[in-house]
Amino acid sequence: MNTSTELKTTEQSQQDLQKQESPTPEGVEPTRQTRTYRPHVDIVDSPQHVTLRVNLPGVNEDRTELTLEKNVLTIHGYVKPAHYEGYELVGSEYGLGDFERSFQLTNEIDREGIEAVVRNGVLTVQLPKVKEQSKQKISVTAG
Amino acid sequence: MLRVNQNLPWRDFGNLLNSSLGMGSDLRRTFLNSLPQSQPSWPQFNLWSKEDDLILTAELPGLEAEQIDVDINNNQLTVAAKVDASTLNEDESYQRRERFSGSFQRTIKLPFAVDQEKSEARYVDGILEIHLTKPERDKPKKLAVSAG
Repeated sequence: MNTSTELKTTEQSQQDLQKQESPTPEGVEPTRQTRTYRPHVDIVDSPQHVTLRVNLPGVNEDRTELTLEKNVLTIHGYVKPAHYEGYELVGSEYGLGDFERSFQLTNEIDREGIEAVVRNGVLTVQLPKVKEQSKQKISVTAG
Repeated sequence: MLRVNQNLPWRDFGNLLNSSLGMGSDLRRTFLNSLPQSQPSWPQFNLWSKEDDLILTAELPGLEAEQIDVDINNNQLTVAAKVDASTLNEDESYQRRERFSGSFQRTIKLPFAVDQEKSEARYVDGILEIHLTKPERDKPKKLAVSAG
């Protein structure tokens, strides 16, 4: 049974093995030659965390950028341009480029405790949920 | 400067490959023979070529090198992995599921029989790279012409 979806993506996506390019916003021109793709992601919900597993093949921890602005978590993975000295690309079933995707976080997430790990081309982001606020004692002094 | 052709629907391979090197039509057969009609193949490959050498690359994030089997049999290459379906704990549930998971196998036909000794496969940051080369005896050789 699913708990209510607190974590939403900023766009809809479908089950698809093909790499999808990120749409460029109206009027914005790309400044780099590289294409940008939308990485595939699994989102797992548990009572304590929301966990994102993002496929970023060709990206290691040095080339992963995670930014949190207001409520939006943006993941950007930079891929080393594929280059094999003297070789020519003669057949291609998948495109080459960077990865980018954004997620909307809700107040349920404890921003301080976000952890991210990259291994074998997969970025795992653990978003802990805010614990129940414990009662706070406020001391009263005479004035 | 590399000519990078991206996002080709696979049926366009014929045109692309015919226009590249002399072995174009062989490479074309390589891909067309391996793609089944209905489902997408997994993994997807890119093919790099240089004279007598080939590099096949595939994006396979989230595996361990030991799980990946690369088999070469004459001019047939098979890439496979047996992967346990990912299971969640009792209290976990998927809110979204897009990543490929599970076992897979794909066989493609190479344009030439490769030298198994000299072939190697590497798995780095989720990318599988298979380096293949023609056996020495199959490489074209120049004969010195002596006057006689």
